[in-house]
Amino acid sequence: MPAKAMRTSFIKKEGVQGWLMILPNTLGLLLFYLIPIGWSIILSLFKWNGLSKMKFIGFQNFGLLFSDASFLYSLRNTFIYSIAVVPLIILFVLCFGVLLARDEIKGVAGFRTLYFLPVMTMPVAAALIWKWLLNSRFGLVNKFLGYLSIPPINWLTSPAYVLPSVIIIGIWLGVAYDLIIIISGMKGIPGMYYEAADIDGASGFRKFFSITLPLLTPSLFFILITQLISCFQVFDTVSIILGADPPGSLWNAACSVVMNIYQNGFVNFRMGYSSAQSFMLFCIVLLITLVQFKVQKKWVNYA
Amino acid sequence: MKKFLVVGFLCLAIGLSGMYANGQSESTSDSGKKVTLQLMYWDNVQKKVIDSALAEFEAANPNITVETSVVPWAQYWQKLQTTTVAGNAPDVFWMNVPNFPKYTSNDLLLNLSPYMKNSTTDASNYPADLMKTYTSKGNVFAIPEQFDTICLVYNKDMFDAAGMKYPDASWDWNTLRDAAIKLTKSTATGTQYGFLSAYGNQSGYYNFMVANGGYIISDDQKKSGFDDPKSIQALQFMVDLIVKDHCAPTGQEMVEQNDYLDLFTSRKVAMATIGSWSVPIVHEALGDSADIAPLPKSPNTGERKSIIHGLSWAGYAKTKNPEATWKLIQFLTDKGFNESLAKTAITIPAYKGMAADWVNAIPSYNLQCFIDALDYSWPYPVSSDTSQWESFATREIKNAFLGTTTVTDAMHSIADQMNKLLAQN
Repeated sequence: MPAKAMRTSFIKKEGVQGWLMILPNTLGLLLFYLIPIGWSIILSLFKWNGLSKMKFIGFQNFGLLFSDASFLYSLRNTFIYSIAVVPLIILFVLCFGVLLARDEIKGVAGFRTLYFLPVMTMPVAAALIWKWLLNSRFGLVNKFLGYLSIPPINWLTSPAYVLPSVIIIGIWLGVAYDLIIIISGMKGIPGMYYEAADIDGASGFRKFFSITLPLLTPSLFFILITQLISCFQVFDTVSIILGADPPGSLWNAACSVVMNIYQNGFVNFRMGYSSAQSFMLFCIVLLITLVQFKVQKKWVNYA
Repeated sequence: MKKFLVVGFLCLAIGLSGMYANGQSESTSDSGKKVTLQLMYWDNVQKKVIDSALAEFEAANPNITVETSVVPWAQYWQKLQTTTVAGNAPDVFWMNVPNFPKYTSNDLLLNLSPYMKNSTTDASNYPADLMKTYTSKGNVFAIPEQFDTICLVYNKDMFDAAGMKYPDASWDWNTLRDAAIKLTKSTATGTQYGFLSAYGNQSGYYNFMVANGGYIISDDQKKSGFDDPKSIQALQFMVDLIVKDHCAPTGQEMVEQNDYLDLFTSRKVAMATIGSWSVPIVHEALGDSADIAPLPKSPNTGERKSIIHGLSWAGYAKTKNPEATWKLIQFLTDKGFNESLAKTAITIPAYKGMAADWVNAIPSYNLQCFIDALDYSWPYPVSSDTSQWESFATREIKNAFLGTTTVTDAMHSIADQMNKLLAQN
């Protein structure tokens, strides 16, 4: 076979074409994810301040994790945050989704845009605005609570309220994006099911629980997986709300795992220790996701 | 076969991108040819002066171009460290006292001594104390740009309205508290407080701790001074102003501000302790209605103390253009640049004899107080892990100011953690 023909036949092979198509993404994945992940796993076995010589210390960094109060607090806070944010997001998304999926409502496109707006906002900018809203003396939130004769709450400076504040912002930011997914999921449900239900005389609630909800489970599963992962990685909003070197009580009450990783890695420059934390977070998220994929067989309905 | 080709292609792509990166960072040699230097610092307030100085520098050295980046304080050390690790740190950058030991002990700063020998730069033109802190093993690795001390600032309007005498050198902590209580009153826009008893270390509690006879870290850098009874007493005085006398903004009010000094500049507080670097901010906000006085003395020792710190210009040890780097450092630490710094009242230039210009730049302020503070100054406390213990000290102290823990508990907790950390080195 002449050389040229051989080359074309090589490129024509489906496998090669596939590889070429995913090449740009694979390169990015390799350079910005896989190599750094591998590197941080190696780093977690060393003591290194970023400038000094690296010193191999085996699994000492991992041993430290479980006696480090700050890390344990951050784990607890991240779990609370995720357990609060994910179900509430799903609840809100379902409520708003039912309304916004109706094309017959006048100006529904405008409403969809409004509800999508938080996605266009940088989390940092959103958190800064929320910081003003939640200000104990001048904030709008306390002003409204005042109309309900509720005394002002120290949203940002009381250890009891600082994590709820972060949770509120997290929900506000998360609902927007997931609405898009849920609306398209709702519109993907064939109309004939509803027509059949109408003929049977089913109520609106019955239709929602017997048709909409079961057929939405694939979308809900997707939201659950992606939201849980992003909840476990929460950083920017916490960082803005807490600010640089927050009071220790607030730090313990609201710092997230990623925030703790950042503090150890880029403020205290304990690169090895902070890599060990990253690796732990990676394992936890992996484990939770695997469990979810196992459990989904029981409740997700691919009709 | 297929796999090998794919892997080969991947490797090639990585290689190419690497070569591209190398090609970019390569620049021409020192002599004659075009050279680009990277300059990094954090204070936006100085940008105007530095920019105009650099224009002058580039005009005098047509073969050198300087690219500047102003990196905010919050990211500055992270940026400097990551670029140093990656080997592409800026050629010239600001260095401060707490971070100096870490960078010199890892051989990352350009040794300036050989260059100084062959030039007109004379170490005796800079404060000896500062020069000493920037010297390691007999060699100079950074040259001070400025120094800063701490003083009391007050709002004259509020004193006038209350018919009270302005603060002066005779004041001690008791006078401060009495005046602060008298100046505290409720107004239409909320409470007006007498004194900003703030949790800043360099401009705040460090000064109180050492004036009271306490210390922050022992001279051999082995022991924390936070649990010294005199240190605790000083902190207790500051916190009591808030929780007992109610003449200072609460911890909550301060934490909610982006910068607690805003409480003073927005006319909510009558007095505050500030570093000389804050003078332009105060002057811009309050104009001639503010003035400066020395820090009040501790009644227990009869002494006053001001923390002194000074930042400096340093060069990157692995710079590709050491000659040009030195030229730029020399220019930025020379008389000319210091003069323009002084005249804008931005900061006290480190260069000998320049302080007078700075003092005269705002005639309505008694800026001489900051210069006089040199007579009772206390060096900024450091060890090789300064940033680590500063970080948890700040947190515990803020707890105490918020009232979530007692001063004694906070100070002992800091000392315990700090001693543990110091023992590791």
